[in-house]
Amino acid sequence: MKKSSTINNSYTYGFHKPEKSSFKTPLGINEKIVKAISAYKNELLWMREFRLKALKIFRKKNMPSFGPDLSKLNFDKLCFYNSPSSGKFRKWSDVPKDILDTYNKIGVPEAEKKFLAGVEAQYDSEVVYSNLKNHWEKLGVIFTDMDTAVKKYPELVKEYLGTLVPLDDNKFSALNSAVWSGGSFIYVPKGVNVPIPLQAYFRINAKAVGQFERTIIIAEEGSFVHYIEGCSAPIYTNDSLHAAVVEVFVKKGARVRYTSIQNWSGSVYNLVTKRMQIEENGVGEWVDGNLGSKVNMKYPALILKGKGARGELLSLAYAGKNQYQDTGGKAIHLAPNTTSTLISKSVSRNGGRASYRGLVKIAKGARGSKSHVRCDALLLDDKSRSDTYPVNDVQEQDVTLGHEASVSKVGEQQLFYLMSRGLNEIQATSLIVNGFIEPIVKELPLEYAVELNRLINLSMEGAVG
Amino acid sequence: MSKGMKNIITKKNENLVLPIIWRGKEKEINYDIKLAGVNSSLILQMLLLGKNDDKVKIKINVDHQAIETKSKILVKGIVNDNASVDFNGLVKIEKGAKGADAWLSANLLLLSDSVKGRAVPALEILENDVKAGHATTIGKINETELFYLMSRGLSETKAIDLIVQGFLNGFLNYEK
Amino acid sequence: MKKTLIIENLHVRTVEGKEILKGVSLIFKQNETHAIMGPNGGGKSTLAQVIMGHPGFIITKGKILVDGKNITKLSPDKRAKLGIFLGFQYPVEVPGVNFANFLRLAVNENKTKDEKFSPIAFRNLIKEKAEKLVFSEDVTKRFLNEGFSGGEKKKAEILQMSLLKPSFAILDEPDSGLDVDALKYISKTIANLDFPVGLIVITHYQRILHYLRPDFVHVLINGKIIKSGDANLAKIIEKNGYEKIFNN
Repeated sequence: MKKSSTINNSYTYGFHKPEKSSFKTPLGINEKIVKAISAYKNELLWMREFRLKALKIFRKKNMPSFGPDLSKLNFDKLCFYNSPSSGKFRKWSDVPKDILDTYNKIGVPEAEKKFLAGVEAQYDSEVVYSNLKNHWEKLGVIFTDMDTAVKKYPELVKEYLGTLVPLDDNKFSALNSAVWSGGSFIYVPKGVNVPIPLQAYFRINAKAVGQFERTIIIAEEGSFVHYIEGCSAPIYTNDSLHAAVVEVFVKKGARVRYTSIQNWSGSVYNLVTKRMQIEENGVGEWVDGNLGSKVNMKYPALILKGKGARGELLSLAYAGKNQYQDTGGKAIHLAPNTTSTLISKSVSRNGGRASYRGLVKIAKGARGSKSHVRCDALLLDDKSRSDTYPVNDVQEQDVTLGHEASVSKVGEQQLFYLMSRGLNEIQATSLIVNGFIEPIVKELPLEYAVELNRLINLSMEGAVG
Repeated sequence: MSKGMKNIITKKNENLVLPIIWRGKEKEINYDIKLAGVNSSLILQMLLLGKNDDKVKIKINVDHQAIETKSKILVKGIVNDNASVDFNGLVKIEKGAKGADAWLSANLLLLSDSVKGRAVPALEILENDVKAGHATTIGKINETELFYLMSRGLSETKAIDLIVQGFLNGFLNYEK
Repeated sequence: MKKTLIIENLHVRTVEGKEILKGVSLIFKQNETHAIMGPNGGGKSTLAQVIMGHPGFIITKGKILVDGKNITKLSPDKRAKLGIFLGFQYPVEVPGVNFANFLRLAVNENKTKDEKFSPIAFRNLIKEKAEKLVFSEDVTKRFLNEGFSGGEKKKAEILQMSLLKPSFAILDEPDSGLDVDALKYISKTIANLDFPVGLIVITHYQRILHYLRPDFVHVLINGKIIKSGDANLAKIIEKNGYEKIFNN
């Protein structure tokens, strides 16, 4: 991911064409605005109707009855579509010093800093991308952005879009369905094993790093793909609301791993609906890193539809000052001999609040199913907060369900032990916190893991003393 | 035991022990316990025996408000026939309740194939100088245990009886 | 230049208020081996932990000096940097923290930029030293004390000491829980240390003293040093127990 390249504005790889002129909708959301978005994107009727239907549902749906307070969200004062060339960027001199310090300390290459800091419109890993693109195209793999997919592969998109997260699922998925833009579309044919992770970062540009990304991943029978989105370095955004929807289809015997790390800097409400449906003997894995945002609500779901399906969730949440991470996951066992493992680690400091919200539901008939949930929370000071709301719903006798949770502070004995070896309190605390999240970090690709560890070390310098 | 909310507020140094047994009669069990006394503690042991069409909705709230408070909630349930148990436990540790120690464990043993069990052991922790944790298990009798006992010559019925007894012994001997 | 560690009239209580040490005075010099013996509950472990700066104890009177510098109020890491090492009686587990990474971090703390070890060089160094202690699995791949048997935890403490090269090493019951072979490996490693160190061995068994002959033996009972002597004192205790010494 972190290969440096020159920033240039020519879209030579053809999967995304620049808009002819900048386009920004007026504040608020209504039919006119949704139609304008669709028109600007030159969409066909079916997509326009999909959006309008979603808008109707969005209006009718209530806000969630649980979780953080969303009352400050005023839909009339938000801008729901903003194309990259609309000049929403800031001057290099306006980038906050602590953001720059972070980039320097965690080793973000020069070329990427400007993009992440919101100074430049885009970043193409051109050289890296083109080589890889040839490779996966030969395999028959489709990896493109959603806007292009809608135009190029409409039948395929129509077959899957909204089937896992239907229009009326919840208020924010309905919103996304009405104003979505950007996101990834991935299709892996039968039996194909994609050996290197597909990264959203390859074709990242401001458009793709959007407020309302819509992503669909289809892994046909026996295939394998690993998709990675986001990065640990803080990404600047001046949008206040992000509501993405992700639908992943893991067919018989296939395996999909979806790694996502979000670190939105700024006052963002990040409300995401992610669902993975796993068929017979399929394997689905969510690796979910939640570092940024002011309010983050995200519960990646594993729908274990076919017998023998396996699902795993590794979730990491870090809540610092003024942050509320309401995260967790869901495992729904619908067939026999399915297994789910949900592991969540959260760290709260400086007044942050991290809540684990989870659901394990084992339906009647899902005999022989096993589920294990483990959520651990580390509270670094007495200003911070941790909650656990795990729902365990069992309607089948022949199952094994276990759930464990613990909340603790940094152990005095451990701190003393490490300091007795010459490490100061900050170093010792960093080691302990990094050790605490190790089971999740070890599942991340190396560059992400290194960056994340450095990020934690950096924030510890603010946490202690 | 009554339906409706039972409210308890502890005093300084008070050690509260609450044994609760449900044999299928009540449809609701509600307890709201505030550990307001410094150094007060709670041991709540709940045994649930459900059969036929017994149904119960349980709500236990424990609120650690003072320093050095301790709570141990132990729930063991045996659910048979068409019975169903809906357990909701919320343990809250308020800011400033330093030295709090809270533990909740809920184990539901499902003995027939039409039972329903729901357990929501929730935690809200606003103080970091504490120890808090919980563990929940829901499931049928462990097959390995059953096999082991049967391999020693016990019939399935006898083996199940033994295992259920052992499960209950854990409850009765808890304080030791 | 030999360093000195002076314990001057130390009175210590736990944070909960229990008095443990009631006026302990000792002088340790680098290159000397001292044994601190006594029955359980006498305050030996407390003394060891207090020298390192354990937060669970409060010094009500007296001081601790390293080469004349009063370290009584210093944090544990600052004391470590002045050359103090504590081999814990019950080393705590720190999950997810790789053994080699942690130790390299600690060792590099006291090195100038040019002297710092690279991860690979350090890993090889650890492996070399660990070999002589005979661990069941490659210690560099494991997490700090996690999953270590009791004996391995003790070996790991000695391994850390051999790489941190302190001026004074306080070993709190280094021989408890060790089998015959482990005791031999640990003793050999200590005997073959390639730097000058003042050893302070806390024990109420004398097993390890057969391998590490002490220059001085002190008996700590009920928070006070009842008697000091040479290696012979240890032999007398082995024969007659502590009661006789106490009643004398």
